[in-house]
Amino acid sequence: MAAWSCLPPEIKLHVIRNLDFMSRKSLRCVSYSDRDIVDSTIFTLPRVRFGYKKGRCLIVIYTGIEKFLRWEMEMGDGFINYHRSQNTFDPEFFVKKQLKDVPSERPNAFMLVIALDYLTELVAHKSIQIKTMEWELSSDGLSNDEKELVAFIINTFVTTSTFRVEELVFPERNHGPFVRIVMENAYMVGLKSFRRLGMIISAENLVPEVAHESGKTLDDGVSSYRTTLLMKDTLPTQLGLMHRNFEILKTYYEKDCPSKATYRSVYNKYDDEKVKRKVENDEYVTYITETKCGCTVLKTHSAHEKDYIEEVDVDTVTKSLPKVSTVTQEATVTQVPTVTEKVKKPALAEKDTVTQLPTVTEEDVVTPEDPVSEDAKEPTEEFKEPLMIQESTATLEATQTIQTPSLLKYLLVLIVIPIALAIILAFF
Amino acid sequence: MSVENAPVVDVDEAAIPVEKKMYYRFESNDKKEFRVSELAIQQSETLNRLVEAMGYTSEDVENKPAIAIENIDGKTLKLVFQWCEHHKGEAIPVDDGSVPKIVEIPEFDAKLMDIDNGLLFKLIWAADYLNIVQLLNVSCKKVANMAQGKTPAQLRRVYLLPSDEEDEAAKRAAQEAQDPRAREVEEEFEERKRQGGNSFF
Repeated sequence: MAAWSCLPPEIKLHVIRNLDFMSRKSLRCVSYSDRDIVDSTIFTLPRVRFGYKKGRCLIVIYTGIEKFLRWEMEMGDGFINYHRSQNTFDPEFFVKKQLKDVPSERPNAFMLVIALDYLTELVAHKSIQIKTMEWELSSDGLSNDEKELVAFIINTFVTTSTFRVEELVFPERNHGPFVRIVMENAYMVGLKSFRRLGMIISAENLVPEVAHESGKTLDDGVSSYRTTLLMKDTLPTQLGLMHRNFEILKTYYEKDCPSKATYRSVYNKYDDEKVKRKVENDEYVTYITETKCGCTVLKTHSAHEKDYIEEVDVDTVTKSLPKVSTVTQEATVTQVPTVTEKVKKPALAEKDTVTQLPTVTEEDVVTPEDPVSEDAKEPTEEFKEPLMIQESTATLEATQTIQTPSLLKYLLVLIVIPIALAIILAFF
Repeated sequence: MSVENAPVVDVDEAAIPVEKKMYYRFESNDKKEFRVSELAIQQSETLNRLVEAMGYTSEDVENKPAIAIENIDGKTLKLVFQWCEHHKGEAIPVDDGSVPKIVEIPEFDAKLMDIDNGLLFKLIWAADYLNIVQLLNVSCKKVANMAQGKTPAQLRRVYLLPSDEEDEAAKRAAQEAQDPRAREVEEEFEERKRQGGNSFF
């Protein structure tokens, strides 16, 4: 008689790819061969959430849109209340159980151990790809001893389990030491980013309408983000958060670590979809994307523009002028200092080779005299190229090469002459 | 089984081209014969290549013996050809793995697969053997849906898997059938173990 066991592994694979999360778990327990086949296929979970607060634990596994599995544990008087539900928040449909025989000593720690054991059993496996894993770890109401114990338990579990996670999310109100344990000690395979998530709620609205974000790519390629979602935007909050993120962008600049600040809002809607590009002092680039759904502002260092260009629909970039180069007399005047600033800048790159000298010196002769007028004559020409960085870096190289002869002279004076004197003295 | 008595598969007349259609004859392993349209055969990559390679004319189809499909019984083959006739002319899905596959079971397929689990597994096996991609997709989806919300013990029943005890008994029976001496040796071994002997020899 035909049965599941008669099917070849490739057909079983076909079936397993159609299974939901819990059915996969069940099938893994049927036989060793089925376990191997289930483990050979990757199941993607969009979001997993683990929450701990004194006396309560929560595990939510999101498997799709409005599809989730939810386990909640709550400390009772000598027992643990256990609630399980699927795709519903209605308590009527909860599966309710009670776990008795809870040790009288440190029952909260016992519950945390059970919850973490359950979490690792469910999702800590190479075949489970988690897109986003959220750790909500609060220390509210815990004594110092309890905090230490909770930290020890979390550390034990995260160091002995391997999660396959793309993004780790920590809410702003988390307890710092707990977060550090997860961030530093947990084995996360394929981690791409960390995110600190803040939320400003409002009684008037239930969905986020504005998102402020600052992001930075670290040396190891992992990105770090700080995101604040607002249910209702107010001008002071908006300005405060924008200012904070732009300040972070300026303050923590690192040459090899691209960083950005973004602001997304559904308030300002535009009929004509377009992307504007603005350059501030040749140092910062801002992309403003206007759509029917809202607007997005992305600000980054001009040196890192290429790292974020994919986030912008480059084809729709309008040939708008940078703030400083509008075609007016005033503008031409205001631009002069920016150019002189460029010339004064110290050499950044190590490209001051002698071969570059003749080609650059020709431009060099022109730029100090009338660099702005050239920009003003053909302001749109700059924007024919998708990336203006290339031009600006070229001028930077030019400035470097201007400085190189004088530097060489100084070097000659400071190094060669003392050496010559030393040789003469040594001779005598 | 004669051609006259062969089970006739429903044919959608509207979908038939005006030109003279060709019906191929197939025979299951229990000697049941089926007539299937050329367009319906295209759903099966295996059969389509087979008939292309054979290069039969209308006369050949009638005069030569039916094409034998040795691995599939009549009951399963009837379901397969019913499905092919209903879905004839439809595009065959290509799975390049670029997008996650979302399979939906049409009403006709759901009714067709409203059968016992043993036959359903046979249908899957036949769809795989005959390389009928869409039938394999929907039948696998049906089997996957059967597993929803089941515990491992319930899954064993749904998927017609033997329990551990049945498995052990079957294993023992197979051993005995293969080598009657093996049972005696095993019993002797167990006896020595009970007596406390460390080594069998």
